[in-house]
Amino acid sequence: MDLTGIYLGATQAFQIHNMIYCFIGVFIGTLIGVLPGIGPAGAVAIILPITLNMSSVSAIIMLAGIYYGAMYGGSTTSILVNIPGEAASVVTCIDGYQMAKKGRAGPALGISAFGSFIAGTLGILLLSILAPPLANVALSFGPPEFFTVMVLGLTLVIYLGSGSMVKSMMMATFGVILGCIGQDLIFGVPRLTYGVEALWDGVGLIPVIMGLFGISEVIENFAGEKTQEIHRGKIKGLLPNIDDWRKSAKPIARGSLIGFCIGLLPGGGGVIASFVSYAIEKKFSNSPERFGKGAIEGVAAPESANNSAAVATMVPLLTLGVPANPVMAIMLAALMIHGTPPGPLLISQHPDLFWGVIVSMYMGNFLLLLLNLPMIPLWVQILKVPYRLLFPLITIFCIIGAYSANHNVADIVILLVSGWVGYLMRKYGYEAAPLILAFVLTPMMENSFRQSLILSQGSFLIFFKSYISMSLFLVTAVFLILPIFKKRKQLTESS
Amino acid sequence: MLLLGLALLNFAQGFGADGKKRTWKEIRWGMGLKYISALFAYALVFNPLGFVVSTFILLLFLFKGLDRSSWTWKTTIMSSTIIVVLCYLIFEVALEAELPPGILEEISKRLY
Repeated sequence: MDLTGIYLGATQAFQIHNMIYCFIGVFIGTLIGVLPGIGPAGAVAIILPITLNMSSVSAIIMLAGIYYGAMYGGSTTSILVNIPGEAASVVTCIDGYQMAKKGRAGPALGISAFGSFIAGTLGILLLSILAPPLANVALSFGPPEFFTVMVLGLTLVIYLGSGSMVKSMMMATFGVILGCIGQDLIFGVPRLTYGVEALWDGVGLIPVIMGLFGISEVIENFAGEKTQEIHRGKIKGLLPNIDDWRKSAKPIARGSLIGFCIGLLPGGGGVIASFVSYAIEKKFSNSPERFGKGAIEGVAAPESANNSAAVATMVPLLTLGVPANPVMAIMLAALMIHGTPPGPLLISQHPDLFWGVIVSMYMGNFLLLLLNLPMIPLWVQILKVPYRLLFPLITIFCIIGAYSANHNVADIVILLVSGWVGYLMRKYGYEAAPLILAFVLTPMMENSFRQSLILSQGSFLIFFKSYISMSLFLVTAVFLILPIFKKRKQLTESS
Repeated sequence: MLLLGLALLNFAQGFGADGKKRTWKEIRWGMGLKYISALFAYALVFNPLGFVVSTFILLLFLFKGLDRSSWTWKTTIMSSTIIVVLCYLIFEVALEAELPPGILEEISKRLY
């Protein structure tokens, strides 16, 4: 590992203002994780305009803190109230809530905090080892390779989507169209603006994300009735006993590794990682019948997995400049706004940023452990904030966030429209992630696509000339064709 | 590429169409519609009225009009005021978000 890098990072991360931003980040992250109704994507989008006055290192430190902090906080509500604070903690509900019912809420909260800490730290270690060599490989990429990497990324997002693949594909196409709005990259001709001046610069990412992940949740809550129930009864004995540790050691280790690998994939991230690791633990276990009835492994594994996955999603962003999930898409926007575009050159050109963020993540993980264990009663208190106060507040924050980025009321309108669209999407089971990723990737994809075509003077063969892009295309094709065969198999089996 | 995208969308929409009709009625529109139309009205008056006034009115509506709440007018007005003032202090004064001043500025100009 690069010790000079770590040293450089430490000089950045241990500056007093960066430590404060790191603390604020993980604190807000935990808060977001605890509160149902708003997830890390919406929160990071709301905070982004605030970071515009900071240096890029501080901004990324804080935004990253929110993301992995939310992974910690989400478990608290899953265990105590059976409501996942954010999607990556849905699985934790199954066994965590059962443990709480049996009066073992303390150890459940304890093991999920320790598991998250171990997994987070392990993930950061892997990130600092893997990212620099990966970036070196990516340095040899030209526009055709980047285009194919992004095509593969988008395909994987569609493939890994939890719902129907056709729906994900529709959403991705919708995202591509949204991404095309605005001026043509090379000729400057306005496209799809229909004479509306506000659309000339394209649709803003921040209002769209806040609409899809923030406002739509609020609408859902106003339209439906979500009840607020809180686990009453004392939480005691946060420290898991030796038997708990013996049972959870291996799940934590496996969860961390699985989480990291899944986090590397585009479209991966905490949600899928937690589901997969839970399923695997159930298979590996000697007594699978205990799962669903309060097995501590069922808390330890997914909680570890979602934390190491959260760290791993930073790898494709920092090495390739390709975001793997909506949160990373906002991080990408943040990096762009601060004049440090992510990509293979980031680590060599801005080592202070890269290593500063990594060291701050070590620090943030430690802070989170401190924040989470003794302060659980406080977080439970926060759950008692009535929804009728909470949702108007979220609304106001979204509006201020959307407006303050460009000082344009049109952004508020975009926020509201995407909020309504997002609500309908939720209702009909369309996922927002493929839409956001396609939306973010489209300008980048188009850029590298057209650069490649300029290089090859209009010949499409350029995408098949290098081994890298050729093989990436083949993998893409496999992922597109695979579901057809799966479906066929299912059909023949059922008939 | 664009055309391809559009064609794909058209194709995909064909898939979604019959599913949509069925579930269309299952949504309880009332609350959500009220909420979103209040917000659209808010966006309209955001610049002319300014952040403070328009947000105050919006909060009144969200607290009292939307929820069949047991809150009295007094608590509603109190909490709306507190939230608006806090937001103003945090975002405008501390973070310099440059929210539109609107009619409050006009009034203060005339007064002095």
